[in-house]
Order: sequence, then structure tokens, then C-alpha cells
Amino acid sequence: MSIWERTVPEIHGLPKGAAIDVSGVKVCVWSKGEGRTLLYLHPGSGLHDHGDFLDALSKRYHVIAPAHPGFDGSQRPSAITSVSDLAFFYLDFIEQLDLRNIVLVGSSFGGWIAAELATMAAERITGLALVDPVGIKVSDRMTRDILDLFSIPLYDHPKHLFHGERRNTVYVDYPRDVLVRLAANHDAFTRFAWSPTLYNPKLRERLHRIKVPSLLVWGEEDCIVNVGYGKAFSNLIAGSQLVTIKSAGHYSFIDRAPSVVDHIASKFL
Amino acid sequence: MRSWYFCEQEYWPAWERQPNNPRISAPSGEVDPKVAHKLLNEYIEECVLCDKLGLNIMVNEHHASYTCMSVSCMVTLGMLATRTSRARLLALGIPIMSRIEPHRVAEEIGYVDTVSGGRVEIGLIKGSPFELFLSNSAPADSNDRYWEAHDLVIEMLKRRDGPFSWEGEHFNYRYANIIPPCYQQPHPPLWLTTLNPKSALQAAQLDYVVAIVGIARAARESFPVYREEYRRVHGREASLDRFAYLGYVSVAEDEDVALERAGKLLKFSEASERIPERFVAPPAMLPPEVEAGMLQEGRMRTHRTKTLPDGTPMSNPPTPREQIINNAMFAGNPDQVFEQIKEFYDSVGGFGNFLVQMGGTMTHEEKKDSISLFAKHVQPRLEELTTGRMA
Repeated sequence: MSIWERTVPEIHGLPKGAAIDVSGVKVCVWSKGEGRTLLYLHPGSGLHDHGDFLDALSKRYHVIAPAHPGFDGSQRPSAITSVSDLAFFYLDFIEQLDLRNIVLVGSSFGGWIAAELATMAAERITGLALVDPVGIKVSDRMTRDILDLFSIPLYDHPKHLFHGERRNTVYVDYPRDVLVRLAANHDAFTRFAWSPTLYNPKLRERLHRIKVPSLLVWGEEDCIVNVGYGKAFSNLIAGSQLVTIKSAGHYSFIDRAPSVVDHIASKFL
Repeated sequence: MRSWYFCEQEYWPAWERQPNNPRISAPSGEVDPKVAHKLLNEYIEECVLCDKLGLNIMVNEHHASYTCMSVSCMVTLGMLATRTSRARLLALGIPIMSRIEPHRVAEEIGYVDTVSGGRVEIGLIKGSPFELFLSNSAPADSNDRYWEAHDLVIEMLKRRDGPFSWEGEHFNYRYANIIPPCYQQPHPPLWLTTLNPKSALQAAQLDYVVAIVGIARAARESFPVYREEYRRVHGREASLDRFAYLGYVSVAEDEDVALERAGKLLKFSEASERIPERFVAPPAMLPPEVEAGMLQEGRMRTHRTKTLPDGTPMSNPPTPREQIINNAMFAGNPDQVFEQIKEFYDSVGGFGNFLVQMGGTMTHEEKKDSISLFAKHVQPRLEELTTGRMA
């Protein structure tokens, strides 16, 4: 691992991050805590608003939270254009950091990457937790399973991502650098998930390859992908367990961080 | 000066029923096929009249829109190729940032150019960003994809040693080959629309006609940039035929009648601006710094002009007189229209192509009258204005 000189963004609620070079890709990584390795893959909005959730996880795990190529200061080589490319990148990431006995956790878009990664790397990942993931097609061709976040202006996303007060989030008082980073993250998210919108048509048929203990956590008020989608997702991963969180939306890990962490911790000691 | 009649082929009857949803997600059930049939045939007849009166014709395309029923420039021009005999036929333009098959675009250009006996002129444009929501073409890399599609279409049009193969970043063809090839060799004249000096530079480098659509400020910024770059790259002055400006036009014998028609024409502008906010700026197309501003403000920004040149806010919606002051509209009796065009022409160093937009809720009869007056009383004076300065 070599230290990269580029500035790693300071993200509110996260410890100071580091920049590392993985197979020529310079990425920003935040880590905290001790214990079993937990690799966390963030959603399409990046690592913003993750303080409480990652802090709670770090009390039980050694949490490693990288920013995906293209997000939160991480570089994106021109060859990384799809979620499968991101999953291949994380194969390198895991090998280079020599991570073993990993609990892999991903939320929303990060859950999609985590699911793809889990279909590829069976040895080092020993537990999988998908929190309100997207990534597969369930219904018929005339029925959209996943709300098209790209047809909704970014400033209106909180209305759809959260349950409760956070739905009313406005950005008028946000610092300029945070706003630019959120916009750039959304651009990267768009690149990876524009069409097919938020899924990989091939992933569904690959999920049978996931053999590790798996947990799916779902916000009961998730209006991006509802609990029914979660049940279908869970049914495609043999032996997986689905738990639902009351009063939580798509970003259940923010709406009800302690509950989500408790479920992960009770499944993966 | 060459003038080009242009009408967006509006389905205006739906504008009042769906005032806030005229594009992309506009309910298709609002369109009565019999009414659409009548309107579309009237539009074609207007173009045929222009041909008889010595005007050229411009068409465009949009998708899922009450403001423009032309869904393909080359389909419309294909009809006009056989219904007209003299008019130059301009596609401005074909939105190849959205169109996913540049091969088909090149084929259609070759076909229509051949049918028309070489009367086609082509603008390969990026198109309206919001129509990416329809084509599903990715916003990320859309600029790169546009230029690759552009290069591929041009290569297909000009090569006479086809087939050739194309293995690009975005497009892949075993056999790139069009039959028939273009009637005009190596290819029809090419145009580029622009709103900013950066693409005016590219137009100058490529020796394309640079077209500004109804925004005087953009013409004042871009025309000088084009002239300077043209001189630098080509070692000669750009002739006036390299420049085009589109304005709303309403002509009548009587000024009051012309202004009444102009008010109807501006209904098009009002309708086309009421695109649902969520479609205005697809993500991953603007710089994050600009997107950050919209995120902070909680609203989308557009380039629409809201003020008069002296900074005075315009009415909402703007009146015909305000749009005349803004050089977006040219309306009145024939003398007044000529003087308005000439004043603007002089203020931007001249241009050799005037794109004459009519439509909105103007009736077929009103448009025919306006076209006839323009052709008989304005066009000859515009031609006189540019004598000896066209290539």
C-alpha cells in the first residue's frame, strides 16, 4: 500500500481518511475499530451522512469503508464503467489489503456491488449483509421494481430515501465543498446505474453462487425498493435471512442505525 | 441572404389541457389522431408553399412532445424531397447524442439527399439533454459519444470505398456502408447549432455553418469567436453564409394583426419552456460545480433569457414587443420586419442565413399569409443586403 498525495476529503462524522493505490487506482479509505474485518460499500450518494452508522459498527468490527472509484475523491479509470467492473476492482482491493474472514456489508447501490462481489469471491468473504440493496430485476418487463432515482432531481432525493424528518432535508446551508462532492457522487452513480436502471440483468442468475451466511435488512417504509422486492432478493440467496426495520426508509442504516447494526452484529459475531 | 421556413409541427390543442407536462411524460392520450393528421398535412403544405415562393425549408425533431410532432428530420425531409423542387432542405438537427444508431442516420441522409437531387443540408447536433430520458442513452460521456457518432456519420457519408469497419469506444460496426451514397459529394453542407463560444470554435474549425437559435446574446458572443477562429484556421475571412440566426417571425400587412399573430407564435415558446423540472438537467452532464448550485437552491437552472438587454425583467410570459427588443422575434408589417432584421444583422456583423420560425397557435391561413408576405416583401431586400458577401 502506498500513500497517495491527493487530498482525501474530510467527511463529517468519519475519522481522517487515507488514500491508497490499488492496482493503479487511487482510492480514499476510511477505517476505524478493532475486531473482525467489516468491509462496507456505500450507496450512490457516497459516504455522506454515515457517521452514526459506521461509528456504531466500529464498536464491534474493524470497519473499512472505501469510496468507490469515481466517488468521494477516489479516482475512476476510464475502464471502470459498470458495477461488475467495480466488483472486480474490489477483488483487487481485498487481495491487496489481504483482508480475510470478511463481513461484507453494502447498502442500496453498495448492496448491489456487494452482491456481485459475493458471487465472485467465495473464500475471503464469510458473511454478507445487504441493506436495502438494488441490483436485480424481479417483476415483468412492464413493471419497474426500482424507483428511477435519475428522473428525480438530486435535491428531492431525501423525500424518497428517508423516512421521518430527514425527508425534509434541504441543502441551502451546506458547505460548498460538500455540495460539489454530493453532485459529483451523483454523476458517478448515474454513470454506473443509468440503464438498465439500478440493476444488472445477469445478477439474478448469479446469486445462487452466494454460499456464505447472508442477511438482508430492509426498511419497512422503503419506497425505492419495497419489502416485497427484498423477499424476492432473499429467496434467490440460499439460506439467507430477511429482517425488516420499522419506521425506516431506503436508507434504513441512517434512519435506524442502531437497529441495523444490532441485526448485523447478532448475525455475524 | 437565404431564408429558411421552420415550424415545429406543434400539437397545440393539448397545451391548455396539459399546461405543465408538454414533453417527455406528456400523456399520449391527449393527442387526437385525426387532429394530428390535419395539422401535420397543413405543415407540409406550408413547406410546399415556401418552395413555390423561393424560400428554403428547415425541419427539426423532438420526441414525446406536444411542442413538436416531427420525430425524425429525415422522415419529414423525405416527404418534402418529393413535394418540393427548388428549396434547400435543412435538418437542424439530427440529435445524435440521443440517437443510438448513427449508421441509420447516415443511411437516411444518403437516401433523402439522393431523392431530392442534392438539396439536403445537415446539422448533426447534440439535441435536448432531457430527451436522454427517452432514448435512455447515457448522460455520462454523452459529449464523447456525440463526437464519435459525428465522426462516424461523416466518414460514412464521404467514403466511396465502403464498406469499412468501425470499432470505436461507443459504436461498433462490421460493415459501415451506405447505399445509396449522398448525391452531393463528398457530403451535404454541414451545420452546427451552438449556445456558447466553445462550440462556435469547433464549428469554425470544421468549416460548418454556425447557427444560433433565438438568443441574441449568444450570437453576439459566438459570431466574433467564429470569425476569428475561422480566419486563424482557414486563412481567409468567413463568408456570411457561414452564419445563421433563428428568430420568431410574424408578418402581416397591418402591424396590429402581425403582433396578434406574434402572440400566438409565442405560445410555442411558453409551452416548450414548461418542461417538468425533473427532466431539465439530467445528471452527469453539467460540471458538479453547477449541479451543486442547483442542489443548494433546490431548483433547476435554465439558459432562458428573462430580461431585456438593459436588465429590465420581462413580463411573464414575455410579450411580442419585449421579444422584438430582445431580437428573439421579428414582427410587424413587411417594412418593420425587414428593419428589425437589418438592425440585428448590423449589430452582429451580418449573417447569411435567416431561419424563420412560425407556428405556435397561428392558424394555417395566418402562417400562409405571413410566409407569402415575407417571401414577397422581406426576402428580396434581405438578398440585396448580402449581395456579394455570400460564398
